[in-house]
Amino acid sequence: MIVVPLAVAMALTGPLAVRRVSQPAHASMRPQWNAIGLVSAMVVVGAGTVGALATVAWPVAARIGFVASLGRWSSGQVGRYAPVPIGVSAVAALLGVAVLTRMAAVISRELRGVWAAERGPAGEQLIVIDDPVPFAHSVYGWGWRPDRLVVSSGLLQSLDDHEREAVLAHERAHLRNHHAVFRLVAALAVAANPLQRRCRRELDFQLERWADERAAHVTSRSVTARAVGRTALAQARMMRSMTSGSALALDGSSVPARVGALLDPPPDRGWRDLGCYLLVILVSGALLLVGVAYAESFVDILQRAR
Amino acid sequence: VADTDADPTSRRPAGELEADVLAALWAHTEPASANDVQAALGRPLAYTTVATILVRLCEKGMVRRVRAGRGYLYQPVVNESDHLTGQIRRVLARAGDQSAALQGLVDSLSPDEEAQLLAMLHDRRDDEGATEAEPR
Repeated sequence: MIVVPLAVAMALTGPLAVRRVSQPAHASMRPQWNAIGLVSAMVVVGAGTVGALATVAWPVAARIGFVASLGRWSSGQVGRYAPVPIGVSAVAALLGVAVLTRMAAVISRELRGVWAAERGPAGEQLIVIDDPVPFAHSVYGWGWRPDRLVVSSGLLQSLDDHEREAVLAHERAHLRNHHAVFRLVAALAVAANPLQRRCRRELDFQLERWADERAAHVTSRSVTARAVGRTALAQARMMRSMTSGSALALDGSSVPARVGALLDPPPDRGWRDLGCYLLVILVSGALLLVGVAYAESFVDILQRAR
Repeated sequence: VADTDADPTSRRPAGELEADVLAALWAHTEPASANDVQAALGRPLAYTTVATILVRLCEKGMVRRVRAGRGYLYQPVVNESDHLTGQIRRVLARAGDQSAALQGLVDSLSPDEEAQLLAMLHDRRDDEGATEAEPR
């Protein structure tokens, strides 16, 4: 019966801990290590949440006639030995189905996106969209379709030569460092435990910072800061004129923080400071292991229910 | 081909050079000569390399070449609009939900953040020399 509080504790505190830990870390730690630490912690918490749901939900699944006939146990007997009330199991099973559906949706969306992209020669390709709104975006090909940089003519014409180089270097850094993989994994972790949504926003910020630092390496910190800042300012101006004043302020832009970080000296704390994330990973991982060990006893129960 | 890439630590794949040249050409609002493009590129690149890449881009239909005096001027080719909306749609589809896509493509600054950003960039301007502060 101890599983239920354990599972709930795991699912609720994991995301909080990840966020808590990422906050003080992000300022002076290199963004790539921050991103790696964050995404690892998110995966462990996500997997732990799925594991916790499975631990509570299995008696319901075991009662389904088809599953019972496969395992050759009696679906009626399972209920007698189940360690959690059937109602609790049913709720967990519903949540589990919702989680699996969301994860499938995340994967299918990504697959459809890659599928829709045109084939072409491997390597990078620049697509310029003739649009006055300045924007830049990278489209990862998953090694299957060509990687693409999508940039608007408005952006290219509003920046000087060095700033343009910084923007291209930034988008290239997203592609080179496989940031799309981080984003997909994080999306799956959020699908598994929606409480991690804020962690994903933090991860997105770290990935942008990572790409900024690479661009600063190719050009310079001040050029990259100017490119990022001026692009955002031009976008804000455009959006305001397009929406006639009522700008859609979503939830705060990360650009001032990024520009501020670029104007500061480069972050120098490396992987040694992953300790904070490691703590979350170890605690969540330990809970996961307890769950797995507990699952062993389910086998015994099912054996008895034959 | 004489490739005088200044930084030997960064090996640049062919696609990357093409992208740089194409971007430089787009940034130039008027038709540009190979010399103009060479001058606009961030890092030093041999004239012959730039010219070769421009020819390759012409062959791919991404750049148009017009005769001007004794040489050629180059101009980026604007794709048909339906193709472009297709590309954008694909980018949006890839980014997942629409609001996230919009956020990914265009950053929305609040007026406060805008002022903050302007101040930050302005402080830096003094030691940078005068390029225009306002994006066009």
